[in-house]
Amino acid sequence: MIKTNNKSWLILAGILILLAGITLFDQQTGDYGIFSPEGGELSPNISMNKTRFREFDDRGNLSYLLQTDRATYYPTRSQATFENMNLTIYSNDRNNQQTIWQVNAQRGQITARAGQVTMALLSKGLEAENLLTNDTEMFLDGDVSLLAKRSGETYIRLKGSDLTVQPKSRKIYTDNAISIEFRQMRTSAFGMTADLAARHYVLFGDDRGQVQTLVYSSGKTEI
Amino acid sequence: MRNFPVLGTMLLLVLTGQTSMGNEDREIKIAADKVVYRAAANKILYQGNVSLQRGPLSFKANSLEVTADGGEITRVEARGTPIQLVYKRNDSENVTGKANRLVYRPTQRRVTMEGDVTLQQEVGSIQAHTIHYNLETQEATAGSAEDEERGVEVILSPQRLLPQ
Repeated sequence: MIKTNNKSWLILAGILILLAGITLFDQQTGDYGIFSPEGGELSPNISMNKTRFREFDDRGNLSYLLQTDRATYYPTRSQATFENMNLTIYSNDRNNQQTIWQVNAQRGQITARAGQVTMALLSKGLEAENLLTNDTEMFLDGDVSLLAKRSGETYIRLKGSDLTVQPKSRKIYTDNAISIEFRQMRTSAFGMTADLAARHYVLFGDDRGQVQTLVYSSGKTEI
Repeated sequence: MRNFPVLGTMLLLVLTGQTSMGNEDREIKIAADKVVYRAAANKILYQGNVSLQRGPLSFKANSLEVTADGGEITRVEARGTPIQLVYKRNDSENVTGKANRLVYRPTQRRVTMEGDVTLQQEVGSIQAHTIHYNLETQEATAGSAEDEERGVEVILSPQRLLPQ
């Protein structure tokens, strides 16, 4: 159901245009709805189904691709949420273009810092290509998984209940339980920070337990 | 440097656990407070209260660094003050060991233990500054530090060596 309010029509139209920019994102498919703020400040103003967003870097290379069943924007909270999302981050190193990171989650959320998204939209509008700053964070939760691939081969599998991703700076972190698989090693921990581009991962234990690694020996290497 | 056949046997047991090792014993469990994985350098560093267990072999250390090349582990280095090794045997007393540093190179089949090395079994014990062990030839050499007066010390218990 789509409801509109005459008094707010111009405002909503403006928000719709702004959203297209926030989104960073190049909307490819799907339908969208416009909601009135009758439900109060927490009501979504715009939502889009089966949506696909892309962003390119300064050299014209695809930086990341976000596909989601539903994207919703809450202007009063400067917040965008995503349902059943798949985020593919591409290496920004020209010599390393075959490296990608695929992130899946049931839910995702971007919250602007100090009006960051709103201000970016206002200043750049539809012409904007790079609205996210390097430290813009996307919080993911619900069966989060990350695959790191090189030349089509998965070399790291990561799973957790939640994960915070900085799509542009290629950094991720969590304070909660996480497991990571690399070749014949499976490690579980209770916190992690990682620089995906540098392929540098730090796993932490705390009072919930230590970091635990299980190595499945092939019999080839004796330890 | 001196060669020690008894020491060689003890090291063989402790470091490779080659006696009756089942498939489940091939799994290695490592625990630590923190792990740093540098994929580009093929290095994994375990830090803080590190423990490793593989079948009957276990040890505790302050840190453990694993280096791999092409998916194969090429170097394992443990540091501790000291590293404490235990090899649990079903038929007799455990073999225990201590050292400040242990380096294992699987591809070269060599183990080096350094710094106040002690290996103890019911048949006796050995103390040295450094022990090198070649898993291929099963040859062990023990040595003292250049500035150390004590040298290598071997203590054997004859009543344990001879049948009662």
